[in-house]
Formats: sequence, structure tokens, C-alpha cells
Amino acid sequence: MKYDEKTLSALISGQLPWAETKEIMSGGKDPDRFRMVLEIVQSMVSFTERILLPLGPHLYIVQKGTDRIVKCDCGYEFGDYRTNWKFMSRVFVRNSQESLQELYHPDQGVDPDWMELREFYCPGCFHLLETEAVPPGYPVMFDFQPDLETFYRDWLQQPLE
Amino acid sequence: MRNIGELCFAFYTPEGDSVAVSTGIITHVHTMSEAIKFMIRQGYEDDPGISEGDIFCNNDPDLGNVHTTDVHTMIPIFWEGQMLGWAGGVAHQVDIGASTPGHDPVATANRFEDGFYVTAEKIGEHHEVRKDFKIRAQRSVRTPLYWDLDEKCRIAGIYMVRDAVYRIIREEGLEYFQTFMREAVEEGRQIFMARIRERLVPGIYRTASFMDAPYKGKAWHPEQNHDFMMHAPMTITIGPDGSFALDMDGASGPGPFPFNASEGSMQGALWVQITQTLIYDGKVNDGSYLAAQHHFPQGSWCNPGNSLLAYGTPWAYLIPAFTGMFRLLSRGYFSRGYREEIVSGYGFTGDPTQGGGVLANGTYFPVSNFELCAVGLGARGTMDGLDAAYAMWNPEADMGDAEVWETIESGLLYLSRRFKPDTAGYGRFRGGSGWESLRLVHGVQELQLYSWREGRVFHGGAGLFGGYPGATGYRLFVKDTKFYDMVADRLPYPLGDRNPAQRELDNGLGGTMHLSRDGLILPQPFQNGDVWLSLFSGGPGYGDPLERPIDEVARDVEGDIYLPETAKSVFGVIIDEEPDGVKADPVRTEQYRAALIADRRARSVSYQEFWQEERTKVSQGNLAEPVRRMYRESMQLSPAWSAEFCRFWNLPVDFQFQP
Amino acid sequence: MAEHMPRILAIDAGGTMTDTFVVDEAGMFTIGKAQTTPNRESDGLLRSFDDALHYWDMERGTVTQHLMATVYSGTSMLNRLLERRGDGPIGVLVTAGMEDYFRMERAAQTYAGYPFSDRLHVVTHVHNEPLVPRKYIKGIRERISFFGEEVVPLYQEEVRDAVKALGRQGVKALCVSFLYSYRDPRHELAALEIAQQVLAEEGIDIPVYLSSRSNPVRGDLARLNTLVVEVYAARPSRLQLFDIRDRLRAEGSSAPVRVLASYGGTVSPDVEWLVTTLISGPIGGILGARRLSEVYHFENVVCTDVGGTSFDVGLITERELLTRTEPTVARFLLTLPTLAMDSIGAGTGTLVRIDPAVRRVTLGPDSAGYRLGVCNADSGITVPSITDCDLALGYINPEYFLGGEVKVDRERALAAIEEQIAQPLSSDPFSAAEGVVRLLETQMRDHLYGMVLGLGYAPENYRLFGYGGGGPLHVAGYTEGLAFQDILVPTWAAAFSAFGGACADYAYRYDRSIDLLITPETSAREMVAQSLNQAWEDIRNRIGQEFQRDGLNPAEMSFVPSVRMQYLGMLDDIEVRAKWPIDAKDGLTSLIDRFDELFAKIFARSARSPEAGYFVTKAIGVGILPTEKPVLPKFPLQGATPSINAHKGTRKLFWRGEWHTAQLWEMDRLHSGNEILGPSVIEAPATTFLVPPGRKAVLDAYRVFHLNNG
Repeated sequence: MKYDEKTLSALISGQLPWAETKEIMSGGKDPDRFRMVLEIVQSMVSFTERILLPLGPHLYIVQKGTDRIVKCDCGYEFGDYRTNWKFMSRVFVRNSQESLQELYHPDQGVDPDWMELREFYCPGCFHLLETEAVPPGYPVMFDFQPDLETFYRDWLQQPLE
Repeated sequence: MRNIGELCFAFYTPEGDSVAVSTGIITHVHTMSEAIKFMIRQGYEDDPGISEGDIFCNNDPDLGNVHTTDVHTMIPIFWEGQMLGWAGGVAHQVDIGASTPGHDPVATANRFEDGFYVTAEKIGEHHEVRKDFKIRAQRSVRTPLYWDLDEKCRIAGIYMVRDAVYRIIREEGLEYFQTFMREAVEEGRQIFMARIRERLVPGIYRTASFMDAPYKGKAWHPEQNHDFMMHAPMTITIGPDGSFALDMDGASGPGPFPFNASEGSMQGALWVQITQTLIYDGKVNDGSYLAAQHHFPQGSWCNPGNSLLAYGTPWAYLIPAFTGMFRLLSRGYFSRGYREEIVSGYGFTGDPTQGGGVLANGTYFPVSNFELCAVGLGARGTMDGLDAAYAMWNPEADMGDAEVWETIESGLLYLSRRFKPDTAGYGRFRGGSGWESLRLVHGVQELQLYSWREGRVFHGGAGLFGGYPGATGYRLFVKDTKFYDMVADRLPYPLGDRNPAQRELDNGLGGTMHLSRDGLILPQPFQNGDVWLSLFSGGPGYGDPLERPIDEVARDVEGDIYLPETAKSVFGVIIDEEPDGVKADPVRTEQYRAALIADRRARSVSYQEFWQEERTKVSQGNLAEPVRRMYRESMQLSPAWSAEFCRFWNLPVDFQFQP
Repeated sequence: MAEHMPRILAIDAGGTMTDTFVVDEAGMFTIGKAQTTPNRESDGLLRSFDDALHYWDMERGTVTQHLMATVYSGTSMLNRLLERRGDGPIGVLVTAGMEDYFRMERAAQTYAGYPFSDRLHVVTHVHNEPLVPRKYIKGIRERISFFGEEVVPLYQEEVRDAVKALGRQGVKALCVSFLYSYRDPRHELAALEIAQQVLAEEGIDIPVYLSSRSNPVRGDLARLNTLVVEVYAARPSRLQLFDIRDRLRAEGSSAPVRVLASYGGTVSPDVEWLVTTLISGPIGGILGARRLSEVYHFENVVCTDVGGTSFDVGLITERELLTRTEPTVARFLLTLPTLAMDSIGAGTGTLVRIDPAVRRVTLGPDSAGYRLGVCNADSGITVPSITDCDLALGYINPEYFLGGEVKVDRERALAAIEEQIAQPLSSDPFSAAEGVVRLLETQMRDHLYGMVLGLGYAPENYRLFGYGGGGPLHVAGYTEGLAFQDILVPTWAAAFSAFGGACADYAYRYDRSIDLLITPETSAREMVAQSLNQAWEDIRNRIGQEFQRDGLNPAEMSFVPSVRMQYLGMLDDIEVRAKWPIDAKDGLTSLIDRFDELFAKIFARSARSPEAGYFVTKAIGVGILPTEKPVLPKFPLQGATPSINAHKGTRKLFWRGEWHTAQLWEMDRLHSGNEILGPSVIEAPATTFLVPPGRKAVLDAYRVFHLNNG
């Protein structure tokens, strides 16, 4: 099982026609996918550091010198991937009727006493990277802490360096 | 022989591990397993005895069931005197004789209001259900006809399972069969672990979700008369060997409401989610269950271990609790490049209109609507979510025909079933849209209705990668309307609540409108001419909505998925409604989107500033009562969660919220 | 060979090939094949007819005038729907508030037709592209209740405005479907009147269709779907059928052209609701099996059809065919009575892959279909199919595929199997290919076994027919270990569906929801009897009009009334024959008795639940006129040993882990009474019959093989 680069690029950009997407969904997985997608996303970003793991549409864990950091495709660097990148982000909290109402009619939104809507932006490009819908005072979530070493060494059987 | 498709059959080993499962609600694969294990632990072999021809029944949530309306029938299977295992069948009842009619009660506060209880009871011998049990059961529910039909159906089904087992043994031999039983479970386990290594990345995935239970001012019981909030933290750890461990440590406490969820129901939910995303093509049995470790903390809402609580509607807490699971797995799929597997969560299969009434001719009719089982699926990683067609507990969802529902609920007529704008979670890929239906009370002598849904919180925690959660629900009905007058004058009566900012329901219908952001409503009387709105949820979004292609936003507006003003405020897309359709203006959109980005730059604060502000609220206890209560419960139940909370906000280790 | 006088022309126009089955007075037949020509179907049909006739050295011009019957079945209407090449735009009026029918659908349509794995795998679920865009759907305020009460009168002005607007939007037809119009059609009838008035005022000449007229049955989405499919897909087909009729007439034929309907009868292309012929191909096979069962006096028969993409199974139990009334076709829920068939997506074109995570073979769900597989160099297929495996194993003759018309390359197939299946499994290509074929056959076996068991029967109670392009090749495999009384393979297996179509009655059927409860109470029973009698009378009159329009005498028709009923509270109704007129006493009692008996046969006896009463959901009537059908010729039995000129040589084939030397036989040269011992392969231009080692095929007097243990 293998898909060509053109197909995978279209899949990633959300432009692959449904029939082909369905075939990929229903078929078995192509073991080569990780490598191919890595190559595709590496060609999409403007920086040169090697991507180790994509974290989201804009965020990547990259090898920068001896460090492994989270980096936005705009070039902004969030620091060591073992620390929550949100600590380096810009934050906007919708915790008032007024700010919530920009997005939701009051009937269809939350009660700000019970819940706030947090938006985490990239300080470089101000893309919205994550949202959190939590009660006030809830600790910021560290969404995903990958075990990079195990992943490369044992699962991919490839050197991480 | 189906009833609303809520049926499932399974075969278990003598010890109670499931080996093979039919289609249907596979949430129940594991639930019967717990009841069998209970009977073994209790020494049923000696008393009341487990013999060929015996029939057992259970619906006690404290023994693995989901809620009392799911009734299990089980038989032991023997071959030449040797016990081979168990066949079990489960069917969902439209009514279980709870203190209020319906299948998902909201007014109950303890076990004694949950309705008819059968706790791992031997109900028959010699392949016949005892007559006294039949009489007791049928007199304990409001719809004895359905009880009888469903029981017959479960029994017919489990005997088909038994015959299938006999056939395999006749054809292949007993030894083969017993080896197969063990191997099937082991193969299920192996497939599960291989799948994880194939599709995910080892590491720790975390999220949390919440739900409101705003009983204050509504409750029928003094102890229930509070506002409650549910906390469901979820951590999934994928180990180096492909192991999977789900942990809900930190979950808040149970309460005097029917939303408590037994451990069995949580296991069932874990199950049904896994079969929709990881092992949809593998063998569905307890092998995967064995491979998926889980921890639902004892004493919390998701494993109270207290048989005196009410368990009538665990779905209200359980459904939000699992929305994060798709999202967590999706982060792994994303990192591996399997974008086609990503789902950012799901809409809330809430707002089950329920109750019962009496028609003008004196006939009782149950209201037990299941059209809710078609809500929006979260946005996918390569496309929008599925509109109005997903239920987390049954991948084979179906909202049913209006004409079929009215055959049963003949006193509640559909005035509409249509998409509800602005319910789909915003994002680069939007969530599947929700919808609404408006019902007219007509031709009844009396009727009571009730329902529940989230209203004060987003149930799912968030969207994915910057996507927003779908809209919350709210409660709206109008009593003492001028509906019949409007009809007599051929005036355009309202068809729903498309745009709450300009309510159709305010336009000539008159009467008294009940409008509340609380989806929860306890049973209320209704009369002819009243109208009742049901709201079915949309799914969360994926990615930054400012990156959604403008043509797609225009199409959303044209299709009433979003209102034009939402297209502008959320997506930054300027829409012109022209006679030949809806058009997006690319130039003004580009400018407006740039302005919104500038707003983000101007309005956002540094993380440190944000942290200080939140910390102040916490340290001063400046939080609403239900929020404080929730934190207090979580911190009491889990010292680990408490410690992490205090560490995060840099608070003293003995920090506590005041009641 | 001038002794043949063709009497019946049966056509099965598939997506790729059009099969014709031509029968003479003595029941002798010839089979023709030609490429389907979707733009003008009559072209392909006539070519296929020519192909059939050339085996008899005959010309179309001299024989067409002798035809007594022409029966058409085909997939063009279905393909038009699947490929969204239908007529439009269509304007639709629905009850106000329900305008989102086609976008919301019912969730059941978002995974319809999926294999079990995709039904669970929710990310794969999608909505259909609406047949009618939202802007052509207008809501009209009105409401009739379940009891038939007018709760909201028809807002006539809204009808006027909607029709005017749709007319100006350029719709080519109008469909009207209101809630509970099956119970009381007065709002639809009133809307029709207004619409006709408005259209006349606007000078627009388009037809208006009512759901209460086409299909007065419960289920609002399915009823609307069916109505719209009639306009979208069936109307264009009507023109194709007229063209076929015209061209055959021009050739001198006076035989009426009839079309096979999903309920198993045939109808004129002039039929009011042509959508009833949407599903016809696989239905033909069941009818063919029923015809043979009559000849052989079989009670219980399993009909198995192996095609390129699917394996279809139908059951005849105690001479009864089950009918379903709400099938899902092309991912649409429809209200079309349809002979029950259960299909799985496993056929000769099914593609084969290895799941790398668990190193297991996975079959499908996709298929090479008519492109066969990797062996067909022009196909563009790179993933091996079942046909590739069959070829590698020596089951199929690479030089004689479709009589040698299609070139297939065994080496290409082998290489693909080696690389994509054998290597990942650390196996050799032959063992790997055999494993794949075994897996496919096991899936087929489980499917048909499950269906038999589901009815509470065992294979020992049934005989099995294997047909379709791949049936004779795989029937030995998918019946292995199942103790059927007999396994039969007709020599015309490849055109069996067309043959079955030719065996169908000339019959019209109408269903109507009545939703009445039979309780012991006398007045309730009186009402049920009255309503049934009224419904049957209406249906009978309506069918009479159809025959009259066809130029036939309705007085000659036999009318078969029936009902669908269930125990109150259950959801699945079943069809029970009735007598018309029915009386409230003994008549209803014997109807109930027949239902009880049938229910116990179909479902488990223990699930019978008469206590709460019986619910009659539908009244049904079928009107039948006699028609020309093929006779089955009986040939004298000859010796067991086939004649030497039937022998074509030998070929190596791989079976159960070993190479065998198979004898090759030309099917047409075998005679009734001949016995072929396995390992053998019996070849015909359109089909290949595999007789494995240890098995024996005996050709009987009707030229049907019986596959026995050798």
C-alpha cells in the first residue's frame, strides 16, 4: 500500500476528491506515510530545521542544533518541546458576555461564570493554534507530550539524530 | 423484531469475557460481562444455582449496566453437562417505570426513583421465564407491551446464539471451540496493540471536558437543589509497547441526580469509541478491552460504587466525558500523517424529548424520542464534519422518519426539522451541523414533557487545532399560544428558532415563552397549541476559522449552516446576498480578515499576564459556586490532581476552595 | 440450423455488457453479448441480439417478426442515479419546515451500502449529494395528522407563490410530498389543482407528481426519495425504452416490450411509475431460480449470484419469495417493494491487500469491476483482484476469457500477487493466492449460511443454484462443508438473469399503508375488513387501468391480494397472502393464522406476540396477465462418458496446497447424462465451471449441472 506524493499533498490540503479520500480511509494504512508526509510538510515550511514530528497544521517539533523545539511555520519558536508551547503563546480569554457574543448568540454560548473560552495564538503570525473551553481557573492543558525517543528508536526504527 | 435498533447480542466465556458480539449498541459488549462476573463472585452456582435452562436478568447499573432502561437477559450454555459460556442479549426499553415516564429521567435523585430494578436475578427455569416475574415486570413499567416484546426478542436472540454455538461444536468439535474462545480474545488483544503502533505516537495525551447540571430552582428534592458541574479529565498514555491506558483521575463527584455513571457504562463507552476509530475492522471482543487499560476513579461520578444513587441518565455526563477521546487519538493520527482518520470530537446526543401523555381518545402514548441520535460529528482532518447524522453510542445512527415518530407520539406534531444555523463548530474545517425540530402539542388530554442538554458550558472541552466547540443548547417552549388563531387566519406560524436574534417565535404566536440557557428541564405539563423546540448539537471544528476558504463559507451561508453575520464575525468573510445567491467578497474579506488578525494582536496578552489573572481568581476563590464545588470534589477525590492543580497555580499544597 | 424460431428475447443491460438470451419454441436458447451503449441503449441491445443469433446462423431481419415476448432488465436507471446524470432541475413542495430533507437525509443514508467495517468507522460516513438542491424545495404550511385529521389547512397562497417561483426558476417537473398524505391526500390534491392553474397562467407545461398517488405508504423521506427518483432517473429511461420498442417494431416485431420490476413482475414502459423497475438485474436471477424450482419441484432454494463486485443471495423458502418494502438503493431509502436479496461486496473483481499492521489479508471493499484486475494490462489496475488469483491458480483459461475476446496476462497477475501478497506474508504466490480465494469463499459461505440459519433452517433443507459470471467458478468453494441437498449450475449461468427476466409474469403491483389494529373487538374487525376490501378494490381498478392502457383485457387478469402485518409494537412487518373480499370473522381469523405460521417460519417461534393484537400496515394487490415464457427443453440422457471432441486438453491447477492436472472440457459439447470428474474445468465463452478434485459434475436432461461428491 502506497500513495503518491501528489495524492498525499491533496489529502493534507483538504482538496482530495471524496472518492479517493474514502478509498484511503477504508483501505489499510501505508507504512511509508510518516516519511512521505514529513517530506511534504518539510517542503511546505520556509525554515530549514529538520521536522521531527508535526504537532498541528502550523506547529512542528524540529531539530534546532542540539535542541528539539516547537516551531510555527511562520518561523516563531516556542522552545523545548517538553514544555507546553502554550506558555509561550499569546492568549485571549473570552470570559465576558461581550467577548463571547462576538462568536455565539448568548443562548448558544456559555455562561461566563461557568466557563471561559481561551484562544492561544502564535505570537509570530497570530494564527489561532488551539482553543480551550474550561471553567475559570482551570490549569492550562498540555495537549500532547510525545515520547520522541521511543517513537523513533522502537517504532520507526530510525535514528532520531 | 427490532425496537428502535437498540439491541445487541453477545457470547461470553464461562468467566464472563465476551468472545463475539452482534451489531447494534456495542456499548453493551462489556456491560453483561460485569453482571456474569458478579453472579460468579456471589456464588450463584450454589444459590440460586446455574443450570441448563435457567434464565437470568439484570439491569442494575451498579453491576455493570449503563442505566436501568437497558435490560439484559442471559442464559448459561451447556454441552453434555459442561458449561461452555453465556449468551446475553440487551434491549433498551422505552420506559422502565421510573418516577417520571421516559428512558432518560432527569428529576430522580436516588435509586428508588430509577424504576424497576432487577439485580442479577434468576427469572426462569427450563427455558421459560417465570410467570410471577412476567407479571411483576409488566406491572412495574408504563409500557408493558414493549417490555413483553423486548423480553421475547432478547430471549429469541440469545437462543439463536446458543444454537450457533451448538452448531460450531457439532461441526468442529468441543476442543476446537474452546481453543477458539481463548484465541479469539487473544487475537483481539494483539490486533489492538498492533493498530496502536501503526497509527499513533507514544506519549501522553491530555484533555478535559465538562457538563452542567443546573438543578438550582428546578429540583423536586431539597438535596438536589444546587447547581452542579461535572469534570472529566482524560489522559491517554500510549506506552512503548503499544499499550493504551485511559485515566480519568481527577473526575468530580457523584450527586443526587441521575447522571452518575457506573464503571460498566464507562467501559462500554470506551469500547464503542474504540470500535469507531481504531479497530473498526478487527474482531470486536474483550481482547481489545483487555488491551485498553482504564482507570475510572472509585467514588467519582464515573465509578461511584454506590448502589443507592440514581443512575437513570448516565449519558448526560458520559457523552461529554468521551468527546476528548477522538481528539486525543486524532493528535496521534496527525503526527503520523494519517490525516484522514482525524475527528475533532462530536456533538452532544442530548435533548431527548421525553414524557408521556393521553390522547383525546384516552390512549396513553409514551414520548421517548430518539431523533437525537443524529447530531453533528466533529470536523475531520481532511473535510468538514458529518451534518446531523452521528451518535457516539451507535455508529449506525438514524434519526427516523417524522411519520414514524408521530405514529407513536401522536400528540406531538412536527412543525419542522431543519438545520440550525451557527451550531457547527467553527474552524478551517467546520463541525457537522446541528439541527432543530419544532413540535406542536395537539389532540391530547394531558401531556408532560422534559429533557436535558448542556446549556451553560461547551460539553466537549474545545475544538482541535484552533477549531471552536459547537454551540450549546438552550430550552425554549411557548405555552398558551395563538397557534390555532394564526392558522384560522392563514398567518405564517413559526417553524423554529433559526435566528435567536430575530425570533420567529416572537412573531405573532403570543403566549408565554419559556427561554433559558439551561437545557435541563424537569417534567412540565403541556396542552394543545403549545410548541416545544428540540435542539440537536453540532460538532466541534478543526483549525483556525480565518483559514476556511471563503467559497466554503459562502456555501455555508447559502445552506443556512451559518448566518451571514457569523460568517463575518467568526470567519471574517463578507457576504453579499444577491438575488441569484450568496456571494463572498474576496477583497473586503481579505481586508476584514487582516483586521481580525490585528485585533488578535491587540487584544491578546502574554501567557504570564493571563496566568496571573487566572491565578488571582483561583487564589481568591473568586469563582461561581458550582465551579468551586467541582474543584473541591476533584481535589478531595484525587490528591494527585489536587497537587498538580496547586503546583500549576503556585498555591500552597493545602490549598482548598471554600464551599 | 434453420430449425430455430426465436420466440422470446430477454435482455439484461448491465453497466458494461448487454446480455441477450434468445429462446425458441422448443426452449433452445442462444446467448449474445455486446458492449452496453448508454447514450442509445438500443444500439448495444441490437448488437447483442445479433451476436446471439449468429450462433444459430440467423439474421435479425428474418426473425424479429416472430418474437412473442421481449423482456428488458438493466442497470441504466440505477447508474443514472449513481452517477447523478438524471433529469432536472426538479421543483419540490414539502410540508413547511421540512425543506432540508435531502441535506439532512436520515443518517442511515450516510453509511448505506457500506461493509460492516466502514459502518463502524465513522469518519467514512457522508451525505449524498442532494438530487434536488435546496433552492428548488419550497415548504408549504399544512398538516395532516397520523389519524388523518386536518390540523393545519393547506395555505393555498403559499402553494401559488411557490409554484410561480419554481416555474420561473425553470424546473422541469414538480413533485409534491406532504406529511401523512398517504393517510389523506386532500392537501396534495388541492396543491395539484393550484399548481396546474398557476402553471397554466404562467404558460409553463411541466408535469406534477404526487407522493400520495405514486406511493401512498408511510415513511416521509423514503416516499419523497422514491417520487423524486421517478422524475430524476426513471423518466429519462422511459425514452430509452420507447426507443427500444420503436426499433424492434421497425424490425417487424409486434411483441410488447416489458420491463422487469423489482417486485418480480414485468410492466410496460408506459407504466405510470417506472421507478419500480429501478432494481431489476439481480431480481432476474431469483426469478430464474424460481422457474427452475418449479420444473424440479423444489421447495427451498438458495439463489447465489457471483458478480464482479458483489455476491447476491436470495432465498426461496417453501416456494415463497420474501419481499421487502423499504430497500436502500444507491444509498437512498426508497419505498419500493423488492424481492429480498442480501449482498456482500465480494466478487471476482474484489481487490486484495495485506494489512501491514497485523499482516492479514483484507478483501475489498473496492473492486476492479469490469476492469478485471492486474491481468488486464489496459485496466490501470495495480492491486491484484480475485480474478488475478483465479488466473494464477490455473482456474481460468487466459486464452479463452469471454471466449478469447479479452486478453489477460497471467504473468502480470502472478507478479503482482508475488510482490503485494506473497512477500508480505512470507509465502509463495500460489499458496497466497489460494489463501485469498479461500478467504473470499469463506466470506461468501458465512454470508449464505447466516441467511439460511437466520430463517431457522439448515443447508440440509435447501438446494443451491450458483450462477452469474463467477458463480460456476467459485460455487464448489463457497458451498464446501455445507450439506446442501444439491448444488446446481445451469449451463446458461452467465445469462441467468436475462433468462429469469423472461420467466417473469406480466404483473402490476401497488401497496398502500393502512395502519389498522386487529383486536378481538367486533367493530375493529369490521373496520379492518372494510378498509382492506376498499383498498384492494382501488388497487384492482388501478391495475385494470394499467392493463387497459397496454391494450390488454383487464377481465383476464388474476388479482392476488395480500397484506403486510406485524404484532403490535414490533417494527418488522411481513407479507401474507389474503382472500378478497375478506370478512371480519373467518376471513380475518384465517389471515391471522397464516401470519402466525409465517412469522414462526421467518423469525423465532418464541418471539410470537399475539397478546396485544395484530397491526396491518399495508394492503397490497398484484394483477397478473398470462404471458409467453420459455419452456425448458428436455434432452435425452446419453452415457456418462463425454464425447472425445468435448475434451480440450489439460491444465495445471493449484487446489488445497497441491498442483493437480485438470481435464479441460468445452461446455457446449457436453451432453445430458455426461459426468465430469474433478479435477476438471468446463469452459464456455461466457463462463468457467470448476470441478475440484474429488467432486463430480453431472449434466442433467435440462442441461443443468449437479455438483456432487465424486
